[in-house]
Amino acid sequence: MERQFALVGNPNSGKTSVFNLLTGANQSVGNWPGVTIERKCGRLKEDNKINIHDLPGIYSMSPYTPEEVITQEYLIKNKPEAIINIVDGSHLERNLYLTIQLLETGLPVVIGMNMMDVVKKSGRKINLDKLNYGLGTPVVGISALKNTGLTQLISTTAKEAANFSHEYPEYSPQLEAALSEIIGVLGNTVPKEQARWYAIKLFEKDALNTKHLKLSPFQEKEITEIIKITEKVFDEESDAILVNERYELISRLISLCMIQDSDFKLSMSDKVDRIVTNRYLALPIFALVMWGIYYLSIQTVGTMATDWVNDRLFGEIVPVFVENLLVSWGVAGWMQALILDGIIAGVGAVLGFLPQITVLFLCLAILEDCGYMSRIAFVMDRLFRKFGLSGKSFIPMLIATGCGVPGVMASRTIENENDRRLTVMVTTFMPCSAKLPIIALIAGAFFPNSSWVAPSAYFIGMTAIVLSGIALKKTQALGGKPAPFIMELPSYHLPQIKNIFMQTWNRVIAFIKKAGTIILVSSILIWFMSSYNFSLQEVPEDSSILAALGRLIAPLFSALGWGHWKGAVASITGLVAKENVISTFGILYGNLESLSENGQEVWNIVQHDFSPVAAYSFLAFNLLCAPCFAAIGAIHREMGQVKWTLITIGYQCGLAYAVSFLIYQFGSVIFEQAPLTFGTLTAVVVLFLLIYFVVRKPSQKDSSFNMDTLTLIEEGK
Amino acid sequence: MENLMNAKVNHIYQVHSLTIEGETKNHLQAIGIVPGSKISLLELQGQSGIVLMQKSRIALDSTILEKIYIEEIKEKQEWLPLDQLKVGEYGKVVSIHGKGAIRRRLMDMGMTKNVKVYIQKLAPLGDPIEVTLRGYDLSLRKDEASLVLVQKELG
Repeated sequence: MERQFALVGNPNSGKTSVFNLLTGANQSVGNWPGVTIERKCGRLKEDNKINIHDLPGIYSMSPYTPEEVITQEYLIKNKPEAIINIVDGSHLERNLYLTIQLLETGLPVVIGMNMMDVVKKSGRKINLDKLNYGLGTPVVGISALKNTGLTQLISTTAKEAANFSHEYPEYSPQLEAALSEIIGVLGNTVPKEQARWYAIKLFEKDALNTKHLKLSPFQEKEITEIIKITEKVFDEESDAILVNERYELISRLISLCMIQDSDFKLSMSDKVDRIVTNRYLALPIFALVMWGIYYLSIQTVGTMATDWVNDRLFGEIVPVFVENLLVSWGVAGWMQALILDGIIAGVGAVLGFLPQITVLFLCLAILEDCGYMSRIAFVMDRLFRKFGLSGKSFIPMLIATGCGVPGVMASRTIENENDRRLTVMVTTFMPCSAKLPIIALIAGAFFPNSSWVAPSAYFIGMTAIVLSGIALKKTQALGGKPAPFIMELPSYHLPQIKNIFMQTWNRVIAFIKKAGTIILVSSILIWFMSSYNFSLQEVPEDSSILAALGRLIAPLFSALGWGHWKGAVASITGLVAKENVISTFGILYGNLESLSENGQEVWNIVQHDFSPVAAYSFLAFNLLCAPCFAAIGAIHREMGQVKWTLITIGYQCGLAYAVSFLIYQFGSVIFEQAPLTFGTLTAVVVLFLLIYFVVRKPSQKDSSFNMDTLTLIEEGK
Repeated sequence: MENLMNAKVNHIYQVHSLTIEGETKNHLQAIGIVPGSKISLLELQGQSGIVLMQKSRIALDSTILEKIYIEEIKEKQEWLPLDQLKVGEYGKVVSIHGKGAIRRRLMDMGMTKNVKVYIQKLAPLGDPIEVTLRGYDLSLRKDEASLVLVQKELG
């Protein structure tokens, strides 16, 4: 029979390293249903009948954060045979808080005491036998760094699961009395071995974990009564009573098992932090680290490899090889085109991003593993919170100036789900390198003597990010209460090669699976639509299905100043890759197969179809609208849900349309002496609507009490 | 005698008397505003102010504030929200205000009554702050830190 063990622990406790050591390469990474939190599961290297489930790193089991909710649901509903709790010995006090809560679940718990070497260095000693005695559950000393103790950890866990006697942490007599009364009231409502857990959850008024219990009105009344009396006795609220009792128990345990040298030593980590988050040095150091990431993944290694894959491997080597093969086999022409221009080009599009993404993920994994990532949040929080984003949103934005795909993927590291979603939604507003040719074309053809076009593109992108952040944060779905920023700043340690490679590998695979499929399918689809007409004959692009579609939707864009179908078609082909906008112009305007980077050859002809203001509106639309399929695939991968992917695309296209509309309507009146029309009026309305969404007040929170409303205090304090 | 409307911000007073009668008085007493209890005015904005007591933090408007009479406390003791402690200072947690997720999170991370905290540093942009408690470093925004009432301690 297969056995299930759950791995639980604080973030930064070394849990991931332990998981990697236990399972080796036998892991699968997915998402927990409905949320964007990574779910990892793997088989034990030595015994593939044992499944290890790596649950999210958490500090406690409150019913508030998605990570905590997932962990509780898994433990209570799936009832794994045993919990392996990885504890960071150098932060014993806080780590034991989770341990105590795990013991409350009534499942067998075995503690893997990690980082004993750090404890020793700091001049302390933990007596594991005494802790074992105090907690009533086995404690095994391990080192994830040196790979010691893990075999014993597993064998102890197997033993504990086999002959487990329910032992619970014991609190003060007053609290124990209340809990046993509640257990009495519950009777047969809950399974016997979970009675204490439910009693505790009822006592701390955890609605999430107790709402499915079908309590009779009598039981409910009794329990409320018990809680009220106990709150009186302790002169505290019930959840505070429990937290205090847990920490008091921990203090007793610590004084039982820990010997502390009298002299306090400043740890290496503290010394490093003195410099890294120093008032004056923090920002320069931050800038340097960011530059390093950008330099490696966008400017040098990543891009060089990506260019090679795109231009050489999938530009020449593979197509030429396959073409020769197909020709020698005498394959039909349309089949050749499908394979070469459809499939191979699509696969190339997916694989082309891999080097860049791999380099970026390597950098991110190093930052996360060594502990600098949480310092980034610490340093940048103030700035980004103003527009509703997390301090860690900086990295996605920065990377997106190079390429939106790794940019979106970089949002992985943001803990709060709403912040992460918001970041994903706005990241691709940043002009990526593929959008630069569009900027170059518009700037060159319409504004040859002005230098403001390119900077203005970045300005539009950043303004869209900032204002979207502010506006979306005020919506019901993404806003609500601001996420509390109460987090640990973990000690620095040297990154571990194995963890970093595992992390990078898992994320790259996830990208290929989730994003890759979308990219491949949509590339083939667009290829097909642009090379065939409705009667499935091979035709030039300007009479293809795509062109027909372009003509169909072109009137939509006349309000933006470019109702001509060529602009619409170019925007659609931009979905495959943004640089396609320019090459499509080449084909549609000049029957040119290839253009220079800024499309110089077609400047003159393009000028006939666009007025300068219309051209700028075209530029703004293409900057802000749905990104290329690769980025959409990445967005889908990060959002984990079709619904949120569609919301994102919809929002981006909607905003792009509104902004271009404003630019064209106001621009043509101001710069091109166009008469005021109904469109101008609509534009004014749209402008006010946009302003309203940005400045409107989120729901009121801190209203004060006066003589008349004082009665409300007791109910809604 | 002074009432709360003209109290010094962040100064701890003792409630002397209430010049309100009837039901309103009962309500105030229910939340701990009784003669002899400690009270502190956190901030005053126009006609309403945020008041801190040992067990709650609540916004009251001037009609109530001016009916709460206060007097200086004899023994030297300072209560203040955690975000107003300076870098390098120590404090002992008196109580946690706020509600729901934030309050629970603060407590879960070890911010409980009587725990000793040390202000390690301020982020370069002035917010969030880094505090050391229970042997580890915690970072939190000033907004959240303002929900923790501490008593200043020496070393």
